[in-house]
Amino acid sequence: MSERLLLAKFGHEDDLLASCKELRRHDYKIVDAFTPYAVHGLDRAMGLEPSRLTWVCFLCGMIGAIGMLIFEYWVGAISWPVDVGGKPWNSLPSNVPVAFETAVLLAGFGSVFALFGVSRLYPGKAVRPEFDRVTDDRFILVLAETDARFDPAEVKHLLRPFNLLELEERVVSAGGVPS
Amino acid sequence: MANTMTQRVPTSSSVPNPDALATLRPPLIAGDKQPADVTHDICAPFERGPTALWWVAFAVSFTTLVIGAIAVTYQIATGIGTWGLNRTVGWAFDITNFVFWVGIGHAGTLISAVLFLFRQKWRTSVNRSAEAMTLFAVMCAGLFPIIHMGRPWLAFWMMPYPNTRGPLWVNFKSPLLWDVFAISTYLLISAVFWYVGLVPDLATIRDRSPAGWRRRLASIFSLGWNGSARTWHRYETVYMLLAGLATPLVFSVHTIVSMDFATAVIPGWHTTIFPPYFVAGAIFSGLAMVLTLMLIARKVMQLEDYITLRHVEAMCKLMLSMGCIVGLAYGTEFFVAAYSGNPYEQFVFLNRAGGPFRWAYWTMVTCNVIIPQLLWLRGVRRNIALVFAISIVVNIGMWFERFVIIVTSLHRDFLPSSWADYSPTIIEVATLLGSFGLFFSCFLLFCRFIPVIAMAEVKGVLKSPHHAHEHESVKGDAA
Amino acid sequence: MKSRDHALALVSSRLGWLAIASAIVLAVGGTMAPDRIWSNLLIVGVYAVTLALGGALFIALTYVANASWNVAFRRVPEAMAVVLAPAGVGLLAVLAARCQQYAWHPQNGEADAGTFWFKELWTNPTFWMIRAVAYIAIWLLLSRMLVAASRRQDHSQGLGFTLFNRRLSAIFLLVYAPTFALASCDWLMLLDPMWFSTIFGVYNFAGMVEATLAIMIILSIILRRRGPLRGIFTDDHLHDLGKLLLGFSCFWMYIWFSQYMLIWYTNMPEETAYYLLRTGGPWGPLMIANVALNWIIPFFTLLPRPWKRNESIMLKIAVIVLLGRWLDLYIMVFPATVGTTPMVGIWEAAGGGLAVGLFGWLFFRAFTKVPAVPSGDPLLAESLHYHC
Repeated sequence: MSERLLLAKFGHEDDLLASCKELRRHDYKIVDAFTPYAVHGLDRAMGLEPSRLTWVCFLCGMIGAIGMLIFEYWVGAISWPVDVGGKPWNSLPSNVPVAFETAVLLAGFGSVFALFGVSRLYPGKAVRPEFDRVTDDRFILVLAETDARFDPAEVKHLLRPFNLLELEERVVSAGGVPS
Repeated sequence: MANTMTQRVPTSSSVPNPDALATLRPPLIAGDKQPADVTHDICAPFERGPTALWWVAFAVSFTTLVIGAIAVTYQIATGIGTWGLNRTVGWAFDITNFVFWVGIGHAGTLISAVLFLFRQKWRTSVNRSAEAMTLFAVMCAGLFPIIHMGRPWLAFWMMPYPNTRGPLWVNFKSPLLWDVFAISTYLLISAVFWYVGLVPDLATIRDRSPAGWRRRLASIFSLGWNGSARTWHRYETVYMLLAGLATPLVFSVHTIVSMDFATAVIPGWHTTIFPPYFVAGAIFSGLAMVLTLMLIARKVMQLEDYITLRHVEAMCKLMLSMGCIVGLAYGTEFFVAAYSGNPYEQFVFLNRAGGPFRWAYWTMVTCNVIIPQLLWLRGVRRNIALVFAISIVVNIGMWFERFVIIVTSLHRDFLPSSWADYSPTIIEVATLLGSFGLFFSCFLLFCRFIPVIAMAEVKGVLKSPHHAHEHESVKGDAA
Repeated sequence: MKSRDHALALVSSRLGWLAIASAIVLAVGGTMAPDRIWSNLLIVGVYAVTLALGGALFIALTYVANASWNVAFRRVPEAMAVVLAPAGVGLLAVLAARCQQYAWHPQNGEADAGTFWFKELWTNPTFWMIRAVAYIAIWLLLSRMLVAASRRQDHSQGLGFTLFNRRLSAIFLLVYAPTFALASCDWLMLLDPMWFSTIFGVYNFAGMVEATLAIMIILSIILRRRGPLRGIFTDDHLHDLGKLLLGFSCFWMYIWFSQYMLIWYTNMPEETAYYLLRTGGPWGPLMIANVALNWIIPFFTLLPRPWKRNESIMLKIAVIVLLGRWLDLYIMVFPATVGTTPMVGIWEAAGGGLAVGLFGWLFFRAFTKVPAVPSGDPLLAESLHYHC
């Protein structure tokens, strides 16, 4: 199965943002946008939900902290108790620093690997879809022509005020654009 | 809500005075750059071959590194007896260098994480190189405790793993073990933070390089990055999370380093202000090192439009505030020594300021507190040569701070019969030099192969809020 | 316009009555349990002074950072800073009234503060009082200048006042840091004259900033509900204050841990005495409650983004933090002045009532005297349209 996509290319982030809002007002479905940098406010303009990766980070952090505290307690008080400075074997204050470091380590790695997993980023992955200059200075808005009433001419008309550089139709096999 | 807002605000202020805004919000990047200019300007230095200057600098750094490597090899083969330590001064040069390098590493995370959370957009021009500097500095720092072990091939014993020695576990109650976890976590998280920030830029390099090794490496490490807004959205979240994690981490690292000393009972080491005081000092020295490196880099790599006087001024102000905090900590220590009425405490501080190491103490005070006060003057902050000189002075001062804390507190302890002197041997000095060689070699290689400025971030701040209204297409009247 | 003033006047008069009622209770108590009443008044004084000073500190920090997000509600910390004058006078009166409450006072015998010449000089009651007056006077002068320049800017659209205040803020911070460290030593650390901790000033700074952010959240929300800041103090501003509160809550925990852990680990008698008194017996649970109120609860509740934008949740968290700040001061003061058993009863409640009533009443009086928005600030537009 293949999919017809309409690509609108811009040279400035403001044009992209404004046309994104305009198209959404006219009920067009925006598949994705491709930009050379993180455009402030684009997530709102595209209507993206806040990422749930924060939860991954929090959970990994909690696992790191609690897991390490338990391990330290087991090591210091059960497996091989050693008297250090006359302190009790299960001294909480001296277990905090390492537990904290472990929490940060796990939370950091957890969220980065979750990002790579969710966004399907891995070494040697082929770049799909390929656009010219999108990592340099081009801003591309991708619309899916799935709707029966989709009218490229109307899109062109809508986008004209926003310094549209080029409108291109592309047919890709399904899954070409990660959604 | 919008209605009531316009009612309450006098009309005169809803049209802000453009002159006032231009003064308060000057553009971050000079030269009226477009995104394509950014790509071009920043990729240019590593796309053309290395200059003669680069080769000279690299040759010097690498030679120093080799000298250090020879010294380290000799001392590992012979033993720690090659150092100038004695029974009284059991910790000196080596640990000074360790704390010094860890401290240098702190500015990178400050600039990339703390300033990110505070939305200081000027950080985008310096964060990449500051983070690289962090990595190299922490690598240098990590070497010293490993060398100090005497049997560095057993360094893996510091990790808690099931073993045939009991299993005998590491001592989780020891601050030195906290160091192991703090430094290795810091190195790993900084590396991840740096790499995550680098991915979009690697994609840019991949897309503009001709087929060849550079393109192949860039496409492996850019992970198939295609600039999708959905990915950017998640990426921004993770970047914010990493910044939020790195901020307490950077505090914890130097805090734990300070606890190596502060958990002891040695007067001059045991004082509760050490954690925040060490953190401020670390950021202070790190900023000085960032300034030293960036002032050279902007000149040599022609990045004056990206690292402008405004950036230099901002870093100077931060450095000044950290210098003042450090000065306040010096004062607090003296004040509380007098206030406590504790004779040992008082002796240590009088001995610092007037004893055999007074030259080191006064070097420290001059370099860290007195000379940086010049930065109160706008003229000084905008004078590149002077700022460069001050940054070097602060680097020296902060090295001496650690030396003063460590050696002067130890060399005259509770028992006068065991008072001793300390001077480093040639081996110790060569090791310190070698660490500088390692640091600069790594940094020069970084400048050659990786964009020194985060392109994807700088492109995002080209448009200052003041200029936002000037782009006519927003109004949609181009038709 | 009329109804808005009325709504605020109602809040203000209620707070005023609360203050009067609490003052009467405390006056009665003054004859029955003078130690406890004095300790409560010391807490009230320090609490109010640090909140007012915190307002000035917040203004100064945002000026030196060239920040704009806070401009829309800057009149809130400004009005807080105005309260410094009455709060400062009140604290000085409390200090002067019974300074023999401090164990080093000559009336309590000779050797209580040690015999070192510097300590004797430092604990000379006259010198001690002069210092207290000096700290308050310096803070008052600088904070008044900051506020005055901001108010004068309303009538001129120039940049001059902004630049003036930015410079003045740098001076304020430079002066604030050492004076506040010394003041917290003079007023609180000297309650235990033989104990010392170099981090004590930083510890009080952390508590002060945390409480300042909490009270700013509460006051801004009240002012938004009651009118003057409706549509001006946005959820984005609230969100940012919440982030700062989260950050400083963690900072307080960090400083608390640094002080506690180092003293616990080293276990030297002259230092540990402080914590032995404060962790033994019934004080133990209070110590844990202190950590819970100042860090555990705010930390976990301030993490989710929607909660930081939710008015009623933020209000509750801010109240918890303010209770935590009171408990923090209580743990510093009471074991030294009242005794080894924690006592919380009518006198403490009256102390709290006095702090809330008086501070709130003075705040609203100061706030309503001037326009609710600094309309002359060139960064106001940026702040009103701010999205975080």
